[in-house]
Amino acid sequence: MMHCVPAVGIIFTLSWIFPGYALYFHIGETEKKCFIEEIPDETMVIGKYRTQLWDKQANSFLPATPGLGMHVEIKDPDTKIILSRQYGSEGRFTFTSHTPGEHQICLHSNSTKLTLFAGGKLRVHLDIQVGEHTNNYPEIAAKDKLTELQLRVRQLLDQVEQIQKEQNYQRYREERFRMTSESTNQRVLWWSIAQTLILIVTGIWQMKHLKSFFEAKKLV
Amino acid sequence: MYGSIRVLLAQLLCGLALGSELTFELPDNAKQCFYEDITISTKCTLEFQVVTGGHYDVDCRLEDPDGIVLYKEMKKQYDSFTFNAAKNGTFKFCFSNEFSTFTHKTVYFDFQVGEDPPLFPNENRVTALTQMESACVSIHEALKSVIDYQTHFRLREAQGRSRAEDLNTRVAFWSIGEAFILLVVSISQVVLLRSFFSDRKTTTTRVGS
Repeated sequence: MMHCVPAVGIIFTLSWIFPGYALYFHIGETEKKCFIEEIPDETMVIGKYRTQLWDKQANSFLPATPGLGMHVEIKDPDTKIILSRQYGSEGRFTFTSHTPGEHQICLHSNSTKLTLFAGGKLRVHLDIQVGEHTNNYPEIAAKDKLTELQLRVRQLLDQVEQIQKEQNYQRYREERFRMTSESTNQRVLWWSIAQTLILIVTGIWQMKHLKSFFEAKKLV
Repeated sequence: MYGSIRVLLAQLLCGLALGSELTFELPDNAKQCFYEDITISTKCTLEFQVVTGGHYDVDCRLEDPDGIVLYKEMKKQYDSFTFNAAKNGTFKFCFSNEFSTFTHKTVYFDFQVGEDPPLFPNENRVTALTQMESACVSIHEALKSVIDYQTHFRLREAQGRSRAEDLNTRVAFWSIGEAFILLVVSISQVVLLRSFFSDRKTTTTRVGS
């Protein structure tokens, strides 16, 4: 146990130098970048981001800039905002879905510093983990005092639970699809009948009206 | 103690495993690029699928740190590309919708770098796994592929579902529109015809007098 402590310390320092979330993209000053997560209900989502500002003098990205903020907005499938917060240049946001469907995670920087110093370029490192990937297994092992085999079985249980949730969500989506198709079927049926009726009725009305009109004008 | 630290360091440097799975919207005439720093001889996989929009196709391009194009496909709906990183540095992959004039596309991609991190950061990794542990590992891999298939199935089903919902609203809109046009045209036909005969009546009387 004693030799684990410096090892863990090294892991933490190394994760600072080699950042854990390495996928990045560039974003403009007032540009809003949105990501869609289609998830079943009661699923946890953890998002982590890190921003870097472009330094014109050094012609590279600064490692960290204080005072740079990102606004994170998360909408649920009914377009209701479930999280709308301003974070610093580095942030971590979490939410658990209560309705299954497409959740939208939007990020935008409302910092005016960009136009002044960076020429409008911001590098955003992003990592979004969903469902069982949010579990921190070493932490769970330490808390529940599990052996490696028990931890592996726990991971398998979490994975199977995620598969079950996804299949439940699939049944719900298929039901919605079926309802949409049946509604289209109904609409096509009723509107076709209505249009045919309108056609016949207007045809008859036209004939009757014109006949009475010509009779009145003494042309027939 | 130093041996275990060395093993850990080796693991961290070689197998810094990251998996990024994102779904984003690509507006028309837009290009979106993502970058990732990869160490040499890491096995990476890029998988993408177009979820909604137009003909469900997108241009994809993957470049290595020196700008050499490793993968380039135009107007592809779904593809998977595995490669071994030949150099250290920043790899770049871009999705382009520049060929489209007015359709937004939603693109899903999954970029896996390296192997999964070990579950337990411990020293026993250098020894062989027991039968139970290796059975657990193979179940884990199988379940990962089940989850992957589920994701792709969900994306394909989302395609069908969005088309069906589009069709539903379009049927309602156009049916109401057509019924309205029908009424307007038939009434204006009658009014126009009446106006022809009314004019001739006045001209004949004028000529008469």
